[in-house]
Amino acid sequence: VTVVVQDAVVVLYGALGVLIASRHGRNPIGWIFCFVAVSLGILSFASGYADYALYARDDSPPAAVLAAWVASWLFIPAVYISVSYLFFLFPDGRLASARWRPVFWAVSVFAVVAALTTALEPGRLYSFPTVENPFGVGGPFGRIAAGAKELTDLAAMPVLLVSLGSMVSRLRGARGRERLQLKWITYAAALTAVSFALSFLAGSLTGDWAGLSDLFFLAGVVGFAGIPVAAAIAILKHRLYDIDRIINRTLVYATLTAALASVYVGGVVTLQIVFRALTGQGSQLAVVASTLAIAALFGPLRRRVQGFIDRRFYRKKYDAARTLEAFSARLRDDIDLQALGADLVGVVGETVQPAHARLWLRPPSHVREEER
Amino acid sequence: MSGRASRIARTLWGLGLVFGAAGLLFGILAFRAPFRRGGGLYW
Repeated sequence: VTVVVQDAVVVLYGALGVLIASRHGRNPIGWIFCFVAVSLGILSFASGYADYALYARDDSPPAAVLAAWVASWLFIPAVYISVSYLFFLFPDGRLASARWRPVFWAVSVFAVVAALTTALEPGRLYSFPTVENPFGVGGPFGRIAAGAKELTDLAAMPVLLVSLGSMVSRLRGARGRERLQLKWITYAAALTAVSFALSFLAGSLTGDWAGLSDLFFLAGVVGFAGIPVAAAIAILKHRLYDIDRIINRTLVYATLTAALASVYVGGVVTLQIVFRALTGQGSQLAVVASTLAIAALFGPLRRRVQGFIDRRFYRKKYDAARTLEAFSARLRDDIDLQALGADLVGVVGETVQPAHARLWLRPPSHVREEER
Repeated sequence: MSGRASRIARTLWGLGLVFGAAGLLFGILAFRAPFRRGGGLYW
């Protein structure tokens, strides 16, 4: 399963890397994507071959140990470094400001140390516990490497969050087009980070219900695959202005799914209790009734949630829609052209909020000709 | 600049795809093996 996901990411990142690099050759973002594609491809090969040669064959060829070793550390440059560089350099290939330069270099040094110590740490490999690290360093240097690896393991998540912080600070300072570009990728990055965090949390809280943890992990993978898509959309400036709608819909459907799921589970549990009290045994009817209930609830509940989200987070747009509705209602009754014109200018000013609005009516000259 | 950059990027992507396909092949072989020794964390 991991190999399939990795290959899907190789296809996605590589395609977008080619797309961006050939249009914006000087922008490092495209090259970062290409690097992810190559290194994840090699990682997929190394882990697939090691898996096959170590676990599915009688003999273990020496190349299998080498492949297992490559697979044990390559994910650090392939995923970790590339993602944090992406956060630092998106969208124009430059750092957010000069103040981020030392942070950027610190993260780079940290990542190189993490990759080196993982590659040189003596003992068994983490991903392949049956293999002893062929390049593990003994003696005092080995102990230093092992200690440094403990540290980098601990700091890995905070360091990634720092690079995400660079992007968030850029988003706060950005206006107009750049703000929209950043919104796209911050959306994907936030989806990835929050989903992985929830997956970890769900895994440790509900140890026996792994389904929930897996579900969030899947959402995280989708988010990770969404990062290059979002970046490409932003850089190539396609469909840039749809991001607000997508965020809006995600809020709506996430709330809707949570509400319907709780109605379903609650309905099944309650009805089972009721049936048990009435007939002395559980019934499939509870499941059927709950399913019918959420099917009936879907439409009205979606409209309610959409209305709530629009009122709560998209106040301006909601008010504009209400103003236009009211104006079209007045339009039916009003016949005084002068009042209507003033009203129209007022509505335009309220909804579009231009610097200046003026209404120009073409004088009906041909009518006057006829009157004479 | 653009043509050369495009070629290099395409080559990198192609390498990734070839390696990725090989990884997929070995992954399937490992998954379909009739007997498997040890853990096999990846599945």
